[in-house]
Amino acid sequence: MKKEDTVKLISAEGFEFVIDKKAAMVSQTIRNMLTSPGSFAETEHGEVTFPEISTTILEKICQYFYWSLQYASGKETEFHIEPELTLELMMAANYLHT
Amino acid sequence: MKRVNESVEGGSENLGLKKVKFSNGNDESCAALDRNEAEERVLVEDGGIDSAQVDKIGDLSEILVPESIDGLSVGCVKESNKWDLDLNVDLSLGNEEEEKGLGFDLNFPVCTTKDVGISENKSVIIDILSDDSDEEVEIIGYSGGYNEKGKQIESGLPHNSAETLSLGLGTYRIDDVFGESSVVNGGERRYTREEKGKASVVDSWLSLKAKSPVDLDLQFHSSDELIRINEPNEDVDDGTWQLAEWAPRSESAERLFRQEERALRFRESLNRQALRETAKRFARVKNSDQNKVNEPLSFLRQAPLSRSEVQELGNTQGPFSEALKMVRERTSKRAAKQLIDWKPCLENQNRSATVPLVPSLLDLSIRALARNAERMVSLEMVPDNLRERLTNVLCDASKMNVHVMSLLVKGCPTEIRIKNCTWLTENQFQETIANCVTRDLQVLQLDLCGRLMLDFLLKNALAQSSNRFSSLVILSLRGACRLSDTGIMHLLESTPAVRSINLGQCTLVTCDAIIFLANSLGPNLRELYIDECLKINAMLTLPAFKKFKNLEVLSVAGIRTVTDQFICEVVSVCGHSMKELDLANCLELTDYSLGAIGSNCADLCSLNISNLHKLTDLGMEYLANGCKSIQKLKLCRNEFSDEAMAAFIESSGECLTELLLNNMAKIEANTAFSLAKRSRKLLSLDISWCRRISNEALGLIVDSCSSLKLLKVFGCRQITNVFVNGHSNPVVRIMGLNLTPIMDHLNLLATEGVLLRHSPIP
Repeated sequence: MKKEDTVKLISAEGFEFVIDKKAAMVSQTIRNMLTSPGSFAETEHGEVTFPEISTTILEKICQYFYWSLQYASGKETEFHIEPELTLELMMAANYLHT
Repeated sequence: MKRVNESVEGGSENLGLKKVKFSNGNDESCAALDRNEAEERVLVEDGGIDSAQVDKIGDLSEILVPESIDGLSVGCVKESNKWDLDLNVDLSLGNEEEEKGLGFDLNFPVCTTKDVGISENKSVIIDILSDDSDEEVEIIGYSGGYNEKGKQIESGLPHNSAETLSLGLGTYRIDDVFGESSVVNGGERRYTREEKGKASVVDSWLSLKAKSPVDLDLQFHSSDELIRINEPNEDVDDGTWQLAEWAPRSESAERLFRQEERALRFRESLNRQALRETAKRFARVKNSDQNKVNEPLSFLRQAPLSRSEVQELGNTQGPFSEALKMVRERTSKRAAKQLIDWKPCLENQNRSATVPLVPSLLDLSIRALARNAERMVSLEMVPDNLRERLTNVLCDASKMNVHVMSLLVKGCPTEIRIKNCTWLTENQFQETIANCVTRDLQVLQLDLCGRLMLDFLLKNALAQSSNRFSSLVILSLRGACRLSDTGIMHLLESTPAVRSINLGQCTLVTCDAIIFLANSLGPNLRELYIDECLKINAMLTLPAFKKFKNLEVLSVAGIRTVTDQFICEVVSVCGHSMKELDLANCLELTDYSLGAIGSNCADLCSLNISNLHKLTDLGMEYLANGCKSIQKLKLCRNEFSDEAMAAFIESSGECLTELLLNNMAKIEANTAFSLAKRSRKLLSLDISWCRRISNEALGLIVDSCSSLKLLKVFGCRQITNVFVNGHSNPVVRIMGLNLTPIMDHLNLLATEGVLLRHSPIP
């Protein structure tokens, strides 16, 4: 993956997830951050930090991004969510507007 | 499991028997089925299933071809000939069922019993009886599909999957019980109650108990070989079908074929007639027939319109009349249809009607949470909007229970919103609401809590501490059918700050409650929903309404006593602040009300005038001239003409975001053109049952309104793939076409986090 096509998402604990830009754009919040004409620091470095989102949740979110792209292209599978994660995942999804 | 015979025969049999056949194949026939249903799928084509085909013809000449039934090569039959034969010439007992089932053997003018017989008037009449009556009518609609209990019924005629006749009867799929009714049930042709009972019958509205049975008086001037079935004893309960006389088998075999031809032709003519008859049965009662004499409206002297001012359409000065002139000019130059210049885009021919809607992570996690609701221990950090969504999902899945509710009321909640409290018992109410800290509670929504004797419960709860609901702003007790005036009065005594009250469908509420409301809250009340509170006599509440000076949202839908006078007086008091009005089903309203609304409610954002058949184009004019910023407009079964609607949109349709044009029979190209031109902000459009809007017109609208997210086209069979594949709007979701999912899009336009709809919380 080229550098220009990727975005880095950083969790509360400091873990960094490098994913495709296209995948990250599934989230409206991230999309706005990266494409707005204003000068978000994130646009410049291609990095977004989420101090409230923990690593496990952020990982699940990244999985969701890829699953969503797959679903839209026709391959409709099921996205399983572990019960322990549901509550936090819901709130993170709300925040990320995804 | 079903015998092949059975399937075919069964069909016929059933058909013969008070069956309603909906033949259709073309629009006119389907026009008869003017129901506001979710899905209508009409399909009758050539070579269809015998029953469908026969249905198509509208007569009941089901013919069984027992011998030639090979599985269902029915499909190959080009004409119904094959099926029209009643080779069941062996009119012995053994075949009686079949015959009977037929009811009408084309080749034998069959006069069955009352259920399936021939009437004198020689019109093919299709009876639909409800299952309440002894005689049951089976509606031949789909075969396959679901019976009313939602169980899938096997299709008696497998071919039907391709050609099913949908009656669009809501979610019911009328099962064609071909296979169900056992054709060969002993030697008798008795439609036992049991058999009838198996039929999936629909609502009682369908109990159009036709007195005259199907007429099959296809009198082919019988030669002796024709079987004539007289109509002997109209044996209602019995349903036995008797044959008067019939020719021996050997002779009729050839004649059958010959007579078939005649029959076919004859059938065609009967078809039309039959359909006309059927159509009448489905007609709604038009309330205009019951018009009383218009009493002189004395209040009109003070009203904005006096009789002398009632003008003809377009004569007043104003944007509407100019728009109307323009529309008329437009159509004088060329036909309306030619206005629409839209070609389908050819690239997308392979696009399916439904692009997969990717479920959002939020939806997925809420659903997962709902599945594991029992394991939740705390909803502490969860914001209110998510709590609401979660409870909605739980309520929809009927999984809402006291455990979740206790989580919701824990701590010091600001909102408790439960849209379905049918499960809530009085003890549970005591445990939860009565014991919760309601100091900061701003929103309380306990809809459908009909089980609770709220009068007592509230009295007890409130007795515990007097300022319990001191911050309550929004209160909704919709559907609390045991809540009476006294309960409301008690409640209101301790909710001084309430601004929005929803008492919809609380059937015990009378005008006393409204008067009390006015006295205690008066100018503070912003939103009042009293729809379908049938005990409220609107005129008696008028003095109360004079005190609601700042009302922003009013819903009096369904209250028949709402008259023009009521509306005029109410809007003269609070018209300046009125933003949303719901007047659906207040059947007495006429253009005067619209005039009053137009003159007083300049800021009106949302108006619902569904089913008000007395409104005419003049009303539309008043509305257009007065309310320039309407965003949500709901029309259903109104009598506005195409030109008036177009003129309205041209003059005041710019802000429209949601437009409902359900069942507006006169809407066609002009309106479509104006919509495409003016309403660029449109988000949701519903043109269900507007059959005159063509593919091109719809394509023009959809391509021009680029923000359109939701399009509903239920009942619009004229919309085909030409439109679906030809439009170039990437965002729009189309609902209502054949077999598309209809629940996915329910939250598409939902707004969240809204408290008072039009003003801030004090």
